[in-house]
Amino acid sequence: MHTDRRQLDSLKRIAFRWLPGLLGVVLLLGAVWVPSFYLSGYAVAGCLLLLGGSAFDFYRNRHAGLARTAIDQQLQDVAQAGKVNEVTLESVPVSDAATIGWNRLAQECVQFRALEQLELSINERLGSSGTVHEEGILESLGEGVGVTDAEGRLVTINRALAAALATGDDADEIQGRVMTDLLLEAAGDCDAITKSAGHSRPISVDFSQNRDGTSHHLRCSRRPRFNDDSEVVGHVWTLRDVTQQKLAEDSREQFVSTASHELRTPLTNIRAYAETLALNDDIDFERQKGFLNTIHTEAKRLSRFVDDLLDVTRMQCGNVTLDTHETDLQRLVQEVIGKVAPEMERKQLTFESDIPPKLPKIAADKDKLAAALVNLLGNAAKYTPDEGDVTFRVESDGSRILFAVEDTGIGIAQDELPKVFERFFRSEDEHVREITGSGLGLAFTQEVARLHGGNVDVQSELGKGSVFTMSIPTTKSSGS
Amino acid sequence: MNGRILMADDDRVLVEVVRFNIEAAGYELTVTYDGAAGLAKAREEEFDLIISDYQMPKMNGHEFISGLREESLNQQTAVIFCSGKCYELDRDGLMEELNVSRIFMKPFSPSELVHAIGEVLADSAETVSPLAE
Repeated sequence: MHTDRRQLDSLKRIAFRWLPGLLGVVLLLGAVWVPSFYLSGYAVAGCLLLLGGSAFDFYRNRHAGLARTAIDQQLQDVAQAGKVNEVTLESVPVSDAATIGWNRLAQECVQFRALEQLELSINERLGSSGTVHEEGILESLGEGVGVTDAEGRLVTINRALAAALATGDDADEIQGRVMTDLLLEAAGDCDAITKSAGHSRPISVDFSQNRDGTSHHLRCSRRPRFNDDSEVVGHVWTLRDVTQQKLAEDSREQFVSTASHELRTPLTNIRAYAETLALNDDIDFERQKGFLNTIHTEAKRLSRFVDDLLDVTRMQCGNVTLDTHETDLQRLVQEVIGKVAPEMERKQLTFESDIPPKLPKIAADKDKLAAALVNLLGNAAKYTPDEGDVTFRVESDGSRILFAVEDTGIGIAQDELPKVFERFFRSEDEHVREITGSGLGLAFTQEVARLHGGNVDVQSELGKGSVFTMSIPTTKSSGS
Repeated sequence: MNGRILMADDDRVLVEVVRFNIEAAGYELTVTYDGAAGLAKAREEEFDLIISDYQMPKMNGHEFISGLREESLNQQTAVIFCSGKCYELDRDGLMEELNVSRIFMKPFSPSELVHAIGEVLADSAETVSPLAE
């Protein structure tokens, strides 16, 4: 197409300039030789055409030359620039098809650059709002989260991580520090953390930390971050306080251990005695009777333990309601005293009771209340050495009834006092360990008090004795 | 008399039925109700076999037998453990560390215990005899 246009231009040039011009020259020469007005006129017209066309050509070529120069200059600028979009292409005066084409190219480049700028601007705006959004999410997490670079330095850290590391600095001040160094400051000597600095594999480490005077159990995890070439470029760290979870796990383990021991012990005896009776024909009658009584006693012990366990568990799960009736406290207290008196006598304990002559009738679950009081008095007898003292005191001030059991027994260590009402808790004291117990009695008593809208508390001194006080309201506002 | 046995277990009810079975089999049984008393006895008298519970007041079975192996008249005496904590114990580790011959898990059969006592004493006798000759 370009070739056709050039050919057309050439034909036009030949037809409208050179032919008339040549004819004009011929006629001029002819007019010189043969004077004639018409010949002279045609000659002058032809020469004017030739001159005019030449002048037009000259002007146009000069104009096109300037445009070509401008185009060449801009192309040179593009060649020298690092990127095409670093050079602004400008339009040139239109003189021919090439300049028209150039101007179109320049205009499209300008439009393209404008679009590019717009895209960059939009991405920046969206990118900044995304970053703000992500930061908000991180700060709202209760779990500590941090991101480290390839050198292990923190590039992102949320408030929870800064707090868990307990350096005293806020997140901005910690940023840039090496994460493993911070962890070792928090954890002390920890082999797994120290070794983690030498590899990029995921890790999960538990460690203890003393913070604000209390021991916390923390769990630290790390996972590597990869770039598009699957190279490790850093890690994402999480730090979580699992103290409560650890306590629950320890409590569960203790429960399993204690429950299995308390179940196995009577079962062992039942099996051993039953098998002995079955395999031996020459056991005398009295001994046989003794063995059978032992089987009976151990079976009751096992049954009692299972009942206590189920009661306490159901109560703590909120699955038990009280069977509440009007209860004559005077009679209930006398029944309780009657149940514990034999054990008091067996151990030659001085058992005194201080009961008002008249006690009110209250709405209560008589059986559970009695069991709770028997439990408190039974403990007092159990943990008081022979010939010690146990006092049972009941007081009523109209709105509440107080049942207090005081003994001169082995007492409870101060650090164990908060735990005595926990299910299966048993003191580490060797004197306690010598005495059989399931660790459920006080948990049961506390639940009974709670269901009646009351509570139980304890005061004790190791080696001196204890006072357990159960208080329940006389008007029913139960915790069930 | 087939052998002298020392038993340490804080469950007095169990001890009585085990005593009945062991003595019925012809063995002489000495009983203590905690590990500390057991170790003290082991340092005073020589026995052919020691039966110990694991969880006991004052001194548990592990501490009792460790003390036994360190210094007593019964450093080489065969030991049988009877314990309700067998699932939590490293049985193989215990047997290797303390040279325990058998471990019985509670509840156990007294007749099986007596049978095991016979086997362990027989093994001990075979171990001693070549030296005696």
